Amino acid sequence: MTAEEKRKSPRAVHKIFRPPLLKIYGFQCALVLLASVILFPLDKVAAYSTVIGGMISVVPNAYFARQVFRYAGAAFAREVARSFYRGESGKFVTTVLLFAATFALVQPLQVFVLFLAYLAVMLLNAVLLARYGLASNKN
Amino acid sequence: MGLALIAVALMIGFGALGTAIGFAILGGKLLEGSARQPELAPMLQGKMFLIAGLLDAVPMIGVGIAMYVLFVVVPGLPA
Repeated sequence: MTAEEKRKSPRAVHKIFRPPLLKIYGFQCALVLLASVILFPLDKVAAYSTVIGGMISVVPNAYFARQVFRYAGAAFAREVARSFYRGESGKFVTTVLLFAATFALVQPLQVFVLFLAYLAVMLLNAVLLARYGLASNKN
Repeated sequence: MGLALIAVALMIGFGALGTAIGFAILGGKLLEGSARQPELAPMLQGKMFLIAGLLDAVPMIGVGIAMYVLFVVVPGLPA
């Protein structure tokens, strides 16, 4: 690969603000699993409803983040915008499919706990991203 | 039952529409900003990611409720 090809490569990411995605989504998964472990002795259905609700939020968000940071830089602005659109449509479809599969296949289910876990992980995602965004502004 | 299905269609349809409009504006502004100041493009991309996370939160909750209505409420309704 020549120097010019390296510069134009999608991997040539220079000084981009990129949140630590693995850390953010790993932390969310760990928190969901911890909540489920705490709930397990009290109510098994609530425990797996928590895991399912949390994962319905984490998996599409992780896919979206993976798509968004495939390209970086002004030279790839068009590709960045395109990968944003692809990531968002993928996230939407994945969320629909996961919710549909859950409600169609998983019985019994505590719907309230599922939505609560989904909302909690979604809020946690927003808080973590905002926190890392603010941290990057200070640097 | 018919009304429930219309409600599901509206929730998913308007959720997708709202997200699409928001992302179209975001993407357009990203291209515009990158063209004006190319050196800010990576920073703009990061900010766009943050805003995108907030943008589609509410429509996704709507999608979840729509799926609940479709797969749990509608089968229980008399035809």
